[in-house]
Amino acid sequence: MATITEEPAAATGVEADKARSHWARAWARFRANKLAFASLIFCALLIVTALAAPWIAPYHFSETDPDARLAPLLTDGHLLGTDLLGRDIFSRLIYGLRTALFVAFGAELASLVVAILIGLSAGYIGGRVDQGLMGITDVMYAFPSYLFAIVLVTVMGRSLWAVMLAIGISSWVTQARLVRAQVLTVKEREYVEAARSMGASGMTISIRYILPNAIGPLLVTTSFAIPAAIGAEAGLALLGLGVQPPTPSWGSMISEGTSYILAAPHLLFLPATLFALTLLAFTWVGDGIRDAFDTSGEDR
Amino acid sequence: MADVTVRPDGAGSGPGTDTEPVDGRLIGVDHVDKVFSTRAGDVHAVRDVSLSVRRGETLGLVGESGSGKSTMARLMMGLMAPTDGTVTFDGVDLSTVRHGDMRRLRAQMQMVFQNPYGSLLPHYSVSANVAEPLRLHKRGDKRSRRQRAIELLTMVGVNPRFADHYPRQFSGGQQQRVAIARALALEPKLLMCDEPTSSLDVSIQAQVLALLDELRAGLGLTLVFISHNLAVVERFADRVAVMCLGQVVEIAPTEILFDSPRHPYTQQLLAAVLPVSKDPLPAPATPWQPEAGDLPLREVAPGHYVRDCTT
Repeated sequence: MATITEEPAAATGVEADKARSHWARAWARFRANKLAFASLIFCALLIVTALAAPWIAPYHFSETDPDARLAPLLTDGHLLGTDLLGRDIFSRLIYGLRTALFVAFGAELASLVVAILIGLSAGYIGGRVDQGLMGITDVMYAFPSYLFAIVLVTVMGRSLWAVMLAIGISSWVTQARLVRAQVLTVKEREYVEAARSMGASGMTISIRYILPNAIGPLLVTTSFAIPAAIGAEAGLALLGLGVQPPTPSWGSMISEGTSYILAAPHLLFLPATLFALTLLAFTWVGDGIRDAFDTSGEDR
Repeated sequence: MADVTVRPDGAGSGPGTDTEPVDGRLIGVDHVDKVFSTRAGDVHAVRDVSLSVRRGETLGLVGESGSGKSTMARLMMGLMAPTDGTVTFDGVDLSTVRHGDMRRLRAQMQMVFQNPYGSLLPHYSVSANVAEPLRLHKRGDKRSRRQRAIELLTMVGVNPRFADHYPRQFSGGQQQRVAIARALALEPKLLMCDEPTSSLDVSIQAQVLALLDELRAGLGLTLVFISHNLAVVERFADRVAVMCLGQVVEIAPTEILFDSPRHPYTQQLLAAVLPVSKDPLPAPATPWQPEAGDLPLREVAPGHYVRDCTT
């Protein structure tokens, strides 16, 4: 059949810029944010360091050097000194980072999966399923999360997995509520009805169409939940409920450091500073992600 | 329903015989009611509507906002079930079709929505949007689907150079062209247009209408064209049904309806249009008030049905 006369290029109404997906535009906005981008590089370095800890750290975290106990900074062989038992601080900081990131990412990844499963089913299916799932969520929400974490760690023992579970379990609740709220909004968009009229199944609609458009705010909260989880891990360790020593955690290092604040201040300040920097960097990345997805004033 | 409210004078009898022998109709709507139960009470969106859409024709559905036009569209598309009455597509009662079969049946009926940007998937490029119905119905492989999407985009006048752009990068008129291309991807028998031009400005409206006009002629489409714009319907439809408060008050071939409207509501509706060249039609002296009760549609001239009214 005859083709429709094509409009002149100027009238096509297509913007001059290239085809760019939602994600590409978000990334471009993130790149433009210098603080966030620098923080991202710092965080990436931290992650690489944590992954490569056994190769980077000069000593094993439990290896003691009886000749150099409480060594100050810049001691020969121990760049950042040693603690009371003569363990290398630099190595312990790196392994502490490994603990912190492992727990934080593990907990948040698990909570993300659970939150998406629960929030998406509750929001999309609705009705009884929604009531049931949100009932469970509300019960979990009513639990004081630190108390819950303490009970869990006490019952399960002070393993890495217990700490991860303790942190993740208090985190998925708010995320699931957020996903559900997002899904409820996106579900009413016209393209969902259009998809139904094209003959798409509920599975396709919820996973392929609704989820990608509902997940932006979730990524933002998750990026803020990571530093919160790092903080929670240190907090539990500070309370003596973190991972089992001698596995290092910044929280327990800080806790030990407070005892020797006059004799060896670097025992406190090194982990505390690194902890603060890490938290700050992850938070700034979160800020950048939030701003990158904040499309108010740009989208129609 | 208590009584049969349609009195056909001639061919056929029984339910669903308002205008047409059964075999000639693609869509049959028989005594359909739709009630929405809300917290504020029941809303009777559609009451006792019977109409049919013949193969190859364009049926215009007009009425003011809230008259039940869009609900009718969704009922005819099987997107919602009627509270009462039956809707048939190609002779199949939609209420008897099972879930999976319904999805397959949808390949034959596609819809163009009022808001083109809202109805396109924002995270898919326009070619992926157009190819999506093909993917859902497992037609071809990825490459052939993309090929077909580009053909369709070309057909509706979207430059294939922009096939990988995203819907938000297009103007409203272009987005509606993409939506039309997507609706045509499965080569449906029926194209349901729910106010496809009302969110577009006048010159773009004309372009999109010209496109639809060419397509229906070229592809032999059956169209249901819902609009509150009478001028568009007058130009576009073969027959027109006028809806008011969930009821069809008058159905007639377009010319007859616009030249000699019988129902006071239709007269009022036509009188409300500001004419460009002709004198306005005289409005009835007393505005028509909707009446309670289900008054029957009566054939006043061949193919011209009017709902009885006491005024």
